[in-house]
Amino acid sequence: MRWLILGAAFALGIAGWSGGPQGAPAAEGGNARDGAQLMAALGCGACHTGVAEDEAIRSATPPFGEGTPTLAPAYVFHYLADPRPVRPDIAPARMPSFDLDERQRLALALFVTNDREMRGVDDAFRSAQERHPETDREEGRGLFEALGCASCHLHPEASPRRVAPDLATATLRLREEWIERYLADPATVRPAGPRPGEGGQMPDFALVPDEIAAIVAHLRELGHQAARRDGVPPPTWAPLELSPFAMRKAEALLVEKWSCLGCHQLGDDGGRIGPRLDGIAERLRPEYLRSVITDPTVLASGTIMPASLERSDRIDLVASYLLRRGGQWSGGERVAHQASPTPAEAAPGAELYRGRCAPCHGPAGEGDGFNAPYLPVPPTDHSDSAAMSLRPDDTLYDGVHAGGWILGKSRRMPAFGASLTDAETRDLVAYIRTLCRCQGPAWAHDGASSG
Amino acid sequence: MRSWQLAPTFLAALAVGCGDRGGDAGGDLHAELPKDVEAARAEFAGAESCQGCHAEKYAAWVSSTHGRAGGEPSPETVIAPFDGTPIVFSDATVVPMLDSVGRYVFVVLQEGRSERRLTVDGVVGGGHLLGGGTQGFVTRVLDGTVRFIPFDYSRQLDRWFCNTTGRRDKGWVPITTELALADCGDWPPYRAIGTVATIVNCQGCHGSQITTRLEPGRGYRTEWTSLRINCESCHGPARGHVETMTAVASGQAVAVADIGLASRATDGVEESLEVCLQCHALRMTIKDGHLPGERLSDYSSHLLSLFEGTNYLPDGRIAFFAYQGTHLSSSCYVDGAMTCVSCHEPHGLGYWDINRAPLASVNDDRQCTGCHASKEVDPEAHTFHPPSSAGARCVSCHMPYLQQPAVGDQVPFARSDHTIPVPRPELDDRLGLTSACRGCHADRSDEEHQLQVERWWGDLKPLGPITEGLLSLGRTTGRALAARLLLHPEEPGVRTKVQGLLVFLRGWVRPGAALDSHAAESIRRMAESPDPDLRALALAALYVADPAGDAMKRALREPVATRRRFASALGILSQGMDARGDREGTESALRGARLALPGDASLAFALGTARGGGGEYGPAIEALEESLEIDSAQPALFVTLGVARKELGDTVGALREFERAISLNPYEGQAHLQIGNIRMRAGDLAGAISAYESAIAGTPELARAHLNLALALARSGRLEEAVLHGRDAIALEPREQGWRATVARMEAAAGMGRPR
Repeated sequence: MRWLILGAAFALGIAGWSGGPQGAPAAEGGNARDGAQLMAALGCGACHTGVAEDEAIRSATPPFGEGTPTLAPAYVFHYLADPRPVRPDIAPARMPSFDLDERQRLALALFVTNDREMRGVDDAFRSAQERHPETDREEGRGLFEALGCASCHLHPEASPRRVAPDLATATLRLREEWIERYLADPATVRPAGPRPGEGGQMPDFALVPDEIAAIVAHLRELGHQAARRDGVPPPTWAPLELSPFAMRKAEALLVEKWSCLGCHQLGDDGGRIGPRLDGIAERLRPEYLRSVITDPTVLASGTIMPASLERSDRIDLVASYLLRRGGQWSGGERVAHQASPTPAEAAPGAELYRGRCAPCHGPAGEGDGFNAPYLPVPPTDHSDSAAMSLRPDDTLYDGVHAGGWILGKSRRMPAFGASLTDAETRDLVAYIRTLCRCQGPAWAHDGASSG
Repeated sequence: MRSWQLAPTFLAALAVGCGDRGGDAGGDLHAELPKDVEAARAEFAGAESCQGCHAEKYAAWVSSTHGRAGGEPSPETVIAPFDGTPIVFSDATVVPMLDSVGRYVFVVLQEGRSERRLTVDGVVGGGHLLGGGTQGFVTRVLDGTVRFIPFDYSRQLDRWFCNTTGRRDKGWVPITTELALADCGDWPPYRAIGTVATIVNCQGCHGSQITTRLEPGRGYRTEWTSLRINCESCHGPARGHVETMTAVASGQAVAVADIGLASRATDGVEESLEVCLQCHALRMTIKDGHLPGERLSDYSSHLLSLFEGTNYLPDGRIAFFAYQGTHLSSSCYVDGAMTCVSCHEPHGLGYWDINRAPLASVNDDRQCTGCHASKEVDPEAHTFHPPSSAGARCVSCHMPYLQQPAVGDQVPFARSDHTIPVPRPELDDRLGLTSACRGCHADRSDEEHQLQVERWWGDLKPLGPITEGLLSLGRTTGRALAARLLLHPEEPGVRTKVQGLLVFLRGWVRPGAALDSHAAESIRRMAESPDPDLRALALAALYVADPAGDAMKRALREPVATRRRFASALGILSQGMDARGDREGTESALRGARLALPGDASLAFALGTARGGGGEYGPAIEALEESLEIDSAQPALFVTLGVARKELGDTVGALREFERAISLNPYEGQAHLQIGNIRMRAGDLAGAISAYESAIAGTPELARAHLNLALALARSGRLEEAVLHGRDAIALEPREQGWRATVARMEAAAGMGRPR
């Protein structure tokens, strides 16, 4: 039964046994230094930017893959259902819960195990395999990447990615009350992770109130430092008082005219890329909400959200509407974890396409991105050679720049003109041409000579 | 003398910016009640009521071309010279001046006639527009209508001009001593402001909330809120809004979501276009009575204005006079989502980009590059013109100013081409247009320009297959080929499909003649279109070809607004059939139209008229009486009914109908004319003269009344008076060659030489 012993001794969980960090030093009511230590121990910096990336987390977590101790698949399968701490010696670090379903646990177990003989497989594991016959190791690899497992666990087939939001500016963006709630119950903010296609999901570390208070205190201190250092906290802004008529007008603009709901969910409407907008007043600081519409990168570099080109007074109106419409914030449902494969060729537009286009248009441009089912108009199939060959390059450029509506397409397709350079837009157009394996119509090319 | 002459004309409803009014277009037609015009008018509050709360927008509007579009005559509104300088015609002198009490008047002086004064009751236009700014004037006449005085002023020319259409047919021409007074097609003042069914007019857009309605026993009542284009012309009636917001502001009511007005900021593409194209486009009225705030598409159709085949060129550009309605043919609309307010700021009527950033000039490229950002990166690589030159501006090549063809080329009246085409100099030349290239480089031929265009831009964007089909169509094209050229249900955009189908329908579809399979299948596909114009027209085509088929059944399942389109299309087609003498086709088309719109009085009137024109007076009377059952206040119909009775020998009955017409409208010239004719035949010269004089008093443009009066006067020995009226008749109807000989005999008898 060697495999079983190995599984028990070298499990994924780290700290105490159940419910929380038994034996961990309790953070004292919002002590920022305790918060910093706790965050380092938990390995927050392995995924998040804005805090130090502490390599120690990777030595505290088991590595996977060839050459590592044999790990029983059934053990992993069961462990992931309830990842209890099994190594009190490394407290306060701990294996968090990712709230995985059976198929996901099966896929991950198949990927991380190096036991080719698959010993010790039990009835539950076999039943899961029978229920998900198509689930294989490759599916597990994609999930491993999508969940950001590689940020803490070394694996020769996966790379760590620090794609989670910047924590140095968290309190400049988020309301502290919300951060506390979120840390206690990390519901899904972005259904497909902070950068769709690159993976990432905030897991549940089962933090206790003192720990949460300490982390928030540390984040607050980081926020103050960032504001002092960068001098760019969003300018003070308070939502407008809106009449019922203005509320209705703002809602109509948001739902019918603007592209926000291409990515963000509001009620039952809208996409699943960005955070849902219901109850956003509970989550975001008002001045941040106002500023992020105009310049999404100001406190969140690397975001795929494009800057709005709308008029300032209308942004005031819609931002005020979102803050005043009421409703409680709740996490969205997660969409299927999807890690886009890194393009084989290093086409300049490939990365841009993966981040900005693939969530709707699909990784291969077939109009089947994970967000497509949530859109009122099916995204264009960029792989359709016949249809795409009728569209001039300039038309593709213009659509990327000014949004789908100018081409008579969906208003939910945003305008990236204020967020992409001319060269980046041309790179995207060139990459789209590789997806359709076609060129635009001959008439669309200007003549060669000037006479 | 043929007396059957009062056919109601559907084409009269085709005009620039026809304005009308009415109610909800849904539901049972029989249950539809006439709108209470008085109550509807009371819902409008006037622009000044907006000023208090919307000061910034009001200020922008006041100084806009809409805010300065017209008004009461005053030094602020009048740009034309009313300084007593005469306008000299070959046979008259007109003096624009201020009278002794400061009123603006035109004094009309003609030899042998008493002086006539036309008081200016309203000013239309301020000569604002770049491509040709004009100003016109209106005067209230005896029957209560308000009519355009046919002397207009061009700011660019700094001259008076008049419209010769209908008489000399030279378009708009500056007034010189070469021109006779009656060469002005609208002399004596004829075109009425507002909508009057029997007067070619539809000038409902030269003011705000203009209504003209019959007041039984008195004539017409013409009202307007303003001769400027006011806030409510676009936003709809605001009385309820003002009351609501006043109550909220005073604390008497709580704020509510429904404030009595909708925000235009959230309009969809079609809703937004409806606002501007209620005036800035040709359209065909399918129901009278539209007022702002109501859905325009329930009352009229822009695309069915294509019925008048001379309105548009094959590529959608204007062949007549249509302002900016050609936008509906632009790729920016057909393949995009462009509306008027994508470029035009609607309050001050300045310019902005698609994100509402203000632009300083009509020539600013950002009107285009907001969408066409790809052209902004390296403009010279696309324009081939130095960046700071006029030729490098987007609008120079894509929206050149084109003189409106209907007005001729003597008075500047150009509007920028809102089809937003790519330059095609040879096509422009073929279509009789000045190409954008030649607009600047007049020293080169269009052939040279075409070569240059191809050197710079290579192959040009292809025209759509229907446009190509329209261009290659010949008079001898057979039906099968015509169908292949004109019917392309797969082509994007609706305008071209409507245009192709209309041309095919008029040229190659004959009543009861089965369509070949390609044509039938294509038209059936168009009958499934989500667009109501195309759907209605396709159903009309299918009905004409096979009245016993399922087209009528399908039409009856359509919403009322689509049925109106279907019936209007059949009504117009029936006129063509009537003109060809196709009695059966005419009857069938009108029968179909009436089945679709059983509560429509004008269709029964049209059927009666058509039957009468075919000599079927009994059936004509039957149809006319059915029309009267729907609407008993139709003076023109009573005249037609009287004529039918007269033709059947029922003079007493005829006189009764004419008197009924006069009891509704004492100035109904045709009724007086017919009474005069009956008296003439009875030998009652004095009575006839009296009736003809009444006809002329109410309807001075009625040439036939002048001629018959001349004949009556001549028989009474009053030769000099007869000659004057005879000359009036000829001047008003210069095409009536037979009249000239009659008047010449009078002149000889009176010893009077010809005037010119």
